[in-house]
Amino acid sequence: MTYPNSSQVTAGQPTAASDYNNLRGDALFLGNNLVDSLPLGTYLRRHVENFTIQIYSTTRLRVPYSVNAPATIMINGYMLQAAADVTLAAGLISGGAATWYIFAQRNAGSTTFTLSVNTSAVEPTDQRLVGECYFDGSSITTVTCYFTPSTQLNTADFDSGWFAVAAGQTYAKAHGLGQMPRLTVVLWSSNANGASPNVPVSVVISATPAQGTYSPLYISNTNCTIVTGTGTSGACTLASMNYQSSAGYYRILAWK
Amino acid sequence: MTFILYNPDGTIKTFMTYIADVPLAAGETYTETEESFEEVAAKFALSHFGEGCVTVRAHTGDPDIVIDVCATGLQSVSVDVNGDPHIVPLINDHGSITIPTNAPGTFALAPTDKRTFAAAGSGYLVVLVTENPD
Repeated sequence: MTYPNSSQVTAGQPTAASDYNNLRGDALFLGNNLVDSLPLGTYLRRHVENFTIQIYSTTRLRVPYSVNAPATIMINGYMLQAAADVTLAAGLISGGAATWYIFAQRNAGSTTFTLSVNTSAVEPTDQRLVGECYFDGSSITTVTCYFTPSTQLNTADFDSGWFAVAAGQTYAKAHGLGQMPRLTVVLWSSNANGASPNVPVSVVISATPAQGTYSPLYISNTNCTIVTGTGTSGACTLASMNYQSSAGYYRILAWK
Repeated sequence: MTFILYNPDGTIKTFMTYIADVPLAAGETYTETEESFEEVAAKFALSHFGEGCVTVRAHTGDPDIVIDVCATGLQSVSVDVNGDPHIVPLINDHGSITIPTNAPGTFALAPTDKRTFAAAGSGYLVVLVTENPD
């Protein structure tokens, strides 16, 4: 491929049809033959970069602004870029518990965008579906941006924080995800501040229902529940190769 | 801010920095304190060679096990060892209790007053003394 196909013309030089077509081909197809390449505008029609969404003030959402990496999105063929934080207007998310879909919205006369939400995921004209959040009836508990890079594990959608544990107890935590978590991790620490070691808790030793090792965790659409072991094993809250404990601190992390 | 969750019998079940995500079971109650999570954890803490929570293992004939007892702001504190209270004098918040290793046994250490101190987190420790295989 030769690129660019167009070349400089001099003042007074007649412009031939080939000059125009080469210029058009460079602009639309980056010098490619039109049967081999989409037009640039079509290619970039779903373009988006540097787009993240945060929970803001309990019931609102925000696309944070970065001067070095501003949120950039093409909506209905319009190239738009944030020039400041983009914040969802107050009062738009309310009512009962539900999943709300988040849209970036183009507005005539503006080169940036605004946010809107709907309980329907269907994209209206001049709007792009960019994420979803779960509203539990009083606050937004989780938010997912569809464009967050997946090359690293996202921050957990639910984090219980550290809490003290002991043998023979049941600890339930409402994860607020609005669905069954796809991944749940329970960590143990011997330190109240969660300092290392952090040991993934896969089993505890219990005397009931029978002497043996058990996973302490079960999950539902609403709760992560942990049942610690009983008995005199010294491993009722943690049974690992390097550490056994019947107390300590747990932290539950869950992803939707 | 730290939240202290109580069992129906008034003993402390756990403590944590969030309470909104806890579905309380019947009879469970909670209070909140301005103290930090670490400060609540340090109110009564048991450790062995500086390490808390981890089960201590020894064989018969090994040196006796010395467990450090820490209770903030007290002259003494009662430690429950397998259901028996033992008064531990404290100097600068610290004292110790010795677990004998002359015979096999399991020793569960916790605060005697489980309504004031948590028998969880750093406040509970198990010592296992097993027969010396040699």
